[in-house]
Amino acid sequence: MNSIPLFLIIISLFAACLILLINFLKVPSILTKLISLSSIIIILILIGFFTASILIKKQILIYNLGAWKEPLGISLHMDGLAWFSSLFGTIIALFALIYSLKEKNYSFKFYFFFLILLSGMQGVILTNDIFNMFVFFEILSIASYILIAYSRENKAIKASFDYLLISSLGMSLFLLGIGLIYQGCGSLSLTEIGKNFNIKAGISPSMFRLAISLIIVGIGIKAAFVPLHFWLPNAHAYAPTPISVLLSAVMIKISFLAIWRIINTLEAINFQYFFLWIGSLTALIPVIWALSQTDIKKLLAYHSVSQMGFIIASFGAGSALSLTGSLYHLLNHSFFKSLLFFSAGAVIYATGIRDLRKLSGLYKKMPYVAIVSLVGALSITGIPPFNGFVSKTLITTSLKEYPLPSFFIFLASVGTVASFTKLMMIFLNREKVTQKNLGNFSPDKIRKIPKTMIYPLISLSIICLLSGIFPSWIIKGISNFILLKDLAYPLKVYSPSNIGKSLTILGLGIFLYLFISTKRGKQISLAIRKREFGLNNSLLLVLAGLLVFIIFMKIL
Amino acid sequence: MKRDERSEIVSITSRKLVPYILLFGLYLISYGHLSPGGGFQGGVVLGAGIILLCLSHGIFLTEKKFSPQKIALLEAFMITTFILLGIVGLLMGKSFLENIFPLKKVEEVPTAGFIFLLNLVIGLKVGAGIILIFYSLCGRGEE
Amino acid sequence: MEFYLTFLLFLIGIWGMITKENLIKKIMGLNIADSAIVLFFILIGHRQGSTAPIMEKGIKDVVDPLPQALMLTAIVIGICLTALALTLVLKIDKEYRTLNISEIEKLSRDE
Repeated sequence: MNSIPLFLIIISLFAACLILLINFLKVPSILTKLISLSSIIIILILIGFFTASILIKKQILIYNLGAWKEPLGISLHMDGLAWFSSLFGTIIALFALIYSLKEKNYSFKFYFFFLILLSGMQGVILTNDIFNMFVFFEILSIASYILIAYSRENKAIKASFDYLLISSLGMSLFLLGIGLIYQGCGSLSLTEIGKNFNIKAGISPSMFRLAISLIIVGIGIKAAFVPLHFWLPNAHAYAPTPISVLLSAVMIKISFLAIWRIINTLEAINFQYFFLWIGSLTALIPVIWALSQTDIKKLLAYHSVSQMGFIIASFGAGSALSLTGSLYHLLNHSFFKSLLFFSAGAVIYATGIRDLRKLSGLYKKMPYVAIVSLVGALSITGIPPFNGFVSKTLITTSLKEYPLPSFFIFLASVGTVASFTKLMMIFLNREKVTQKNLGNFSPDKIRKIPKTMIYPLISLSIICLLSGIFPSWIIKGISNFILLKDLAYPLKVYSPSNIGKSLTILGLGIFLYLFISTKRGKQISLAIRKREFGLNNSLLLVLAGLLVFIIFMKIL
Repeated sequence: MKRDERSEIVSITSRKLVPYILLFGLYLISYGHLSPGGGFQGGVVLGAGIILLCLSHGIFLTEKKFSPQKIALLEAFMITTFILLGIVGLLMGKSFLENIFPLKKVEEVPTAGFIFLLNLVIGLKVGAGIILIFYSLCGRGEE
Repeated sequence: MEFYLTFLLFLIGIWGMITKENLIKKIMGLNIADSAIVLFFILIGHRQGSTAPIMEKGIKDVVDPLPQALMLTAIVIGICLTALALTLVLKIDKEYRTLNISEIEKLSRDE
């Protein structure tokens, strides 16, 4: 039982090597897909059934690699947080794999790197050694650089190169932070560092703050904090759809959970207040760009950053309710964002067009996709009875005592409604989309969507609906078993005031959308869309973000 | 310079040097636990030897001896062997990647046991990897 | 004093990554920054008056071998990243016919 955390990492690595080996002989591609599918199912069974008891008994599974005890050796810890993130990561990977079976004829190299990406994601959150976390982050990053550039188009390769430079800069900063902590502590395992930092032996507080800010900026580049997020829209938009889903719904979450773990273990509570401000800015600023986009997947990618802002701001508030809301929104966002990306991928598969302005009237041809996109859009904008409503209510309730961040988050929600109204318009019949705008798109040329692409969509939409209608057991589970805190007062999520607030946001958002579709609005959108940040400016902004972090850490 | 006007000195010297470079790489791999060296370092020297052969004799000739397919097979085989070596420890009731041989006083190479095997596997894999990187940067990799 | 020198080297690497327009010079800047971090770690493990960590007869105090082992891993990762970045640059060069980042961005914006 104790060796299960090891198997979660090893099974996908071993399956990847098997795929590589058997493809030297001429085997049918069905065998590759079978091996990858079965390995993910085995991992899911291991997490779901065999280790579910650790939540109830509130124990931690510890496995020492190579039988070297801590603090000398590397050990894998599986506590509630790691269980939670492994579980939803593997579920989303399973859906992405099922989706990719019939979408395109992916070669065996795709599945090889997919499984390596999955094992990297498991490894980041399971390990207890900070340098091992760096190594797993790099495994994860290298697999994602290759997968983003898989389609070999110009924009995908440039997006992958930008991501490579920015992310490896971040990992270098992370490594610098590890060096400073090692100099102060003499040990690399997280539990040892946690004990030593309580006594504050051997390292001055300002060095400690510098190390923590370097680590947070380093991982924050992958977790989509605001001045560090400029690689994200291009990378998520031009990657193949299953990879966009895996990146957007799992990788940025796991990076954020790694920051969570480090801050909790090192007990650097002062920084949480700073996250509140970073989170509210992260929620607001990308929505302005998202409103002006015409590419479907880029719009969804900007919204990934914005929703991460909600999660970060709620983490920054620090109370039990806000932490629960943050984790719950993390889970919900994985589900509805992957639903939205899958349906965008289905639309692009069927019509071959990525531009919003050129599509209309798709409801008749693809009714399933239209309905599940509607479910996804309602979830992300926080309309009852879907799951986005519950988590957004938790977040806004817990942030009530901070007026300015609450205002930013309110504006971000309004902008979200507006841009998703814009997205949903492709399913309705629009008279303004004339024949000359449609170009090559004629309704007879739509490809039929294979069944394996529809099953993940339907399952995810059912999950979104059910976890919206029955939220209380998930909330209790998160707060009692994962955070080990008690929610002090009983929650009434479906109260009239909360529903009224979300309907107000809905109304204001539709009003904003109507403003955008006027001529003046279109001019502003074009001006914003032209202002894409290049690589040099993105790197400069990363450094500016680092300076801001360091200065704030010195002040606090 | 035309293709057949390749310098004789470079060609003969590199042909004489390459076996010693490969031997040096193997020395670095085997004595990795006693002196500076180890799996990765020795592997890079192995790869560098073959790259020297490519640079001095032209890539067409070198490909006939060290074809990309065979080297890719070697690399894939080595990484599977590494994970299997780790799992052998698991099957024998101990932890992953644990020393499965009885501990002896480590003075010379034959008594090194597990770490020597790991170094060897890693060294061959890294060598194969470096050669493959060179081949694909020249545009001759398997595509 | 030496720590400040390694930090200066790191800043030089990052300066190269940001300011230079050619893609290959950016990759070189990344390499310089990685080398600076390797030097920083090895400096951390240094103890005054100790010798290299090779266990022969009669050697008592050695420098800390742990950062050196960590840096082996970091060097390997740096090589992988450089190789991957160079492959991407090769492909970009084939498509855009230039290696200058401003021209590439202008070309890709007009597409």
